[in-house]
Amino acid sequence: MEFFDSLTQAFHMILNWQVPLWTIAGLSIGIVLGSIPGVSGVLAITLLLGPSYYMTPINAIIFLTAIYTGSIFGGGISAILLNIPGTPAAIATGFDGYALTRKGRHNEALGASIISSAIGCFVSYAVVLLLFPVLGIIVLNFGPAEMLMVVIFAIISIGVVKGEIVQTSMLGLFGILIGTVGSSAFGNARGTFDIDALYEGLPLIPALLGLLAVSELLFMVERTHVVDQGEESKQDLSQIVKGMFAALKHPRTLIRSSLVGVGIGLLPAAGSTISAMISYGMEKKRSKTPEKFGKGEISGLVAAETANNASEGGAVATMMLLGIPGSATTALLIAAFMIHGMSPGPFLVRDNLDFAYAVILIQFLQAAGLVVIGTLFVNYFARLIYLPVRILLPGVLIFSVVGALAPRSLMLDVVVMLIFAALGYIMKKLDYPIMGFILGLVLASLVDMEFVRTLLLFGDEPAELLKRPAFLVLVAITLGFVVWPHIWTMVRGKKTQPVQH
Amino acid sequence: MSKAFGRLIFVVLIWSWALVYFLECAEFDNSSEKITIEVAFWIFSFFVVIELFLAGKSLLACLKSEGFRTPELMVTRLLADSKFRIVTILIIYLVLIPRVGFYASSFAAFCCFSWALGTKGVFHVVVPGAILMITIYLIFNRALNLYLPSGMLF
Repeated sequence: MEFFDSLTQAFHMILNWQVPLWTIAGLSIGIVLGSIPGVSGVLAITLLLGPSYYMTPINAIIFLTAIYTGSIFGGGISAILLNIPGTPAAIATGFDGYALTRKGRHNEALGASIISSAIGCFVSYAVVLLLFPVLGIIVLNFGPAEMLMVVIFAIISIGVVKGEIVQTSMLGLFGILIGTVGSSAFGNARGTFDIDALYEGLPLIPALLGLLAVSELLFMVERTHVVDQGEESKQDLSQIVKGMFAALKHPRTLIRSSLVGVGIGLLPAAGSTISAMISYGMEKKRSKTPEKFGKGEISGLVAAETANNASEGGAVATMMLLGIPGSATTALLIAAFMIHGMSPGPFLVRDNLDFAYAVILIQFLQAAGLVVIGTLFVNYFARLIYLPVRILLPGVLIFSVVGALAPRSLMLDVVVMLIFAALGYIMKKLDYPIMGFILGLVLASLVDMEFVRTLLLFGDEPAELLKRPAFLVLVAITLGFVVWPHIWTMVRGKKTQPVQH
Repeated sequence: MSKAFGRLIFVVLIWSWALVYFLECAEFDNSSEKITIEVAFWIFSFFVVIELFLAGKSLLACLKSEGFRTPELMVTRLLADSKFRIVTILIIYLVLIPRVGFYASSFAAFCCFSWALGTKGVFHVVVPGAILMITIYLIFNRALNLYLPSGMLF
């Protein structure tokens, strides 16, 4: 009953004239910035996180999730036209997308990419909408110990996926330490250097702006163009529509890849890049003509594009249910929820379930909007991907300063942005997994609160933890995640050894 | 070699900050407000030791294969580096914002950034800068009612 009540309230929430406007604005910005390699949706969301503080909560989240959806699709445009993925998630898109471009069929590839992205987004949110009530009940039974375990799992899983557990854990803990700067629950100042403005805690938006946006711009300085100007490709609307129908001729691939995408997207750390790769590999394995993959096979393109967009649904569900970001983009979305006074995780499910459903429902409008705006973009504005750095960089830098100033109009926030830009630049330069640090930083207050609560509840009798099935399951999953790759390698090694000899 | 060396320095620096923070919090009377920091610090230190070992090992391996080279630092090369120029302009820009005002300093900074990145011709520098300032003014001052810092100018 509560499900239908919340759903009805969610419908009321999104039935206002501003919702389509913010959706269109978000999708357009996401597609444009997502299509420029090196810029990506992360940068777009980071820049607009500050200004979104002045929107209503629902408009802000709709706007930012629309940027997310648009940027994942946008990343595929430069992968198809130039074999340069706008985002890592579009790497697999380039395999067959660029091969089609070389055959002069780029319009078909772009059309197939539009429809695959829209269907991936649509199916993934349909699955999330169906599973949300069940998952919500499970999450509501999570106590402080389980929430703490979820954070540990998230940090470790990023380390396992990146192959750098030591570095990710180290930076995750460093992020937690920095994130606890500010006043404690008892009013004592922790690491504030007597700066009053830091008493409320480290400003999250400027810190993320510095880590993700400004540090990235410093890498861009060396280039004249983000993308080298190649041979101009002419757009043709009829061919784009033909490509859309070509993708629709692969319904099984569309559904299968959507399910792979949403399933992998649910796991923290395993994002759109991994889901696109796995989906592409599966499609190649199942195909009767695997030799055509990489040479312009439309089903390969469909599999990759559907899965990378479908992973968004899973990642957003994990973010809303557990408050755990699976990627930099979802970390930014958590920050967006926080600045609007909501805390993703069990509290969101308990107190703002209608809001969570509104976010899910609006994604169906975004999927439809993606077809229209995506078609307009690839037909008329695809040349924006050749934007020179000398125009892009100064504009983005000044927007970053505005983004840092937006929430509190304090110059200290701009200084924080600059310090974190330096930190982010150094971490990227030294090949450190920056995502571990971001995760620690964003979840520091949650860790602080839940750790103290766990100690208060179970400090005297830690054995009580062993009576909590959810806690034990999470411990088993975390251990399994660490140990399984090693066991798998050993088993495979034993199997392949005789063949090698 | 430079990456392993850089990692060593970076890890030592972040651990030093964590130590100062840990010692500051250790003085609190109530354990609830310092327990997270204490536990996080000790586990962090454990991973720092492993990372120092790994980075040190990698540095030694590089030294064996490449030999020791003195790092070069040439002032003339630094000044010609576009990254250095951008960061310098950015710092001057941040100092100017509260004194001159956001719009005037941002316009000047945009022109300087464009110039530093190789844009030629006054028109190509000034016009995009003016368009950007007008856009920011319309979006933030007019639409979102967000007032950016004002100084002597605008």
